Amino acid sequence: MGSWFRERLGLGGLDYEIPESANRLTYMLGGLTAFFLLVLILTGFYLAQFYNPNPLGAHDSVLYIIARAPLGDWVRSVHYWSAGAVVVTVVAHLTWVFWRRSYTKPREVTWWAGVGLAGLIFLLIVTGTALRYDQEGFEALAHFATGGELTGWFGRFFTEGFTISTPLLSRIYGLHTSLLPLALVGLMGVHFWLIRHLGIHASEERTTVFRRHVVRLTGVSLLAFAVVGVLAVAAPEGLGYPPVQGVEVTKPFWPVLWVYGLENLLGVWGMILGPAVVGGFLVAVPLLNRDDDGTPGRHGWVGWVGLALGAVVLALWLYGVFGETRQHIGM
Amino acid sequence: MMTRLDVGILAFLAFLALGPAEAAAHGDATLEGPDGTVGAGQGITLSGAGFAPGESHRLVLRGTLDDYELGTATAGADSTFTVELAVPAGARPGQYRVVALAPDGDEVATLDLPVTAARETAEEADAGASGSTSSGRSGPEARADEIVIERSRAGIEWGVIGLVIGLAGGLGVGLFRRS
Repeated sequence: MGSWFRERLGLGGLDYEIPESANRLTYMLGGLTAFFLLVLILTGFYLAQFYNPNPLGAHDSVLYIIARAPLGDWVRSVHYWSAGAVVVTVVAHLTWVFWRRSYTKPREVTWWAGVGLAGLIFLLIVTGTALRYDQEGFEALAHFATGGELTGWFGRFFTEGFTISTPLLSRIYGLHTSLLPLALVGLMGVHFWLIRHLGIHASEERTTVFRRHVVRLTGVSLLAFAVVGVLAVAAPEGLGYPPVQGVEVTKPFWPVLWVYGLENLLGVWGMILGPAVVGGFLVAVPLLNRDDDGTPGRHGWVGWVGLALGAVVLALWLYGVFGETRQHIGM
Repeated sequence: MMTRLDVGILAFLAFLALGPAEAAAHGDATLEGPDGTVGAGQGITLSGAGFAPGESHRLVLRGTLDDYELGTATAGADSTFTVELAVPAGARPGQYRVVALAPDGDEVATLDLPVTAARETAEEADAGASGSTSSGRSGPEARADEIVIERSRAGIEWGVIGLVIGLAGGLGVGLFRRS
């Protein structure tokens, strides 16, 4: 049967040689990220059948998903835990690639595609939070509106005043379910194409085939999915109360807590400066370190800046977790 | 002489006519109510037309999770009624429908009614604007905690979840070992 599929689907194209080290977990982090993004798309499609993107019905529709829709509670919790898993794997993947100096020539564009993907994942996280439309979700939406006002013409789309025909929540829903996933899939295609044609950044001899990597990666991904499935049963995601406008009493989804910590220090501009500084550094890395020597770990000053930035983000995250809840909007 | 085909066609047409006949049994009743949204606890006026004269109808506020009995209304000889009712103060904000139910339980007419959180009274709004610190806001307080939701799963749901997790785990182990 395997040969039947092999012949008709061109699976022989997967039999190109790669180093054995590609079968270690550190070389599977990108693939794991892609797997959980696929889980998010599939579970998201199911949730979209029951979700009402109008502000008057949004919160109720989420309650319906939890309490009435068939498998709604579990699918929503799988969606939630998979989002967390994506954050863990993408940060680990980015850290590993940075340490390996896999952004050096000729892999600069691969790196930039990856940074773009990380940015899209961040946007998917924050837009997804808003869709809950409970107190936490509404505060996320209010941050979008405030950020839109701060950035003038550039951020007009994120303000309620952009159009009177559709509320901001519905437009955020459109972003989360259409434009961002489309951009994600497109950029993933670019990223995978470049990895295929430039090869995995590893100096060992090529003693195994890519098909074996795919089989092993699929096994690891399914095991990770089983863990997420159990978590979705044991610790299902909840929902806050319907929102009250004009106050901030919640903290955001955990991957965004470093931005929350920065807002505590700088005010609402922190939510723009923080991602801009981190994103700007990541984009600049291949330009700042153009040494052709691709030896892992030899980063020079760029590596120290990256390490310092990572430490600052971690410190801000811890401050966001343990620090006080504060009003940012209107500060 | 009627053939079996003729009888079959007539039976099919009679079956199709059941739907409109059943709808026609309750007439083309309509409900009208307030424009826009209403606050939880707010009084509303509902008007009905096209209802069976003398027939009492239950008026129910139907939401995503909860239903609330609003009251009953009996149409006069002119097939209309007007009633003053109140949206329950505990109604969760969201999209609702007011449904008029005939004595046999059929839905006779519906009206979309968005419900918002309980609103301030006019006096409290004025007191707030004048800077009075003694007035309290009647709206809900913002809450950071989560709603307690009663979760229950049917047996088949447990079965599907168990199957998916089991398959994923089993297949995962198998593929990992095979590689």
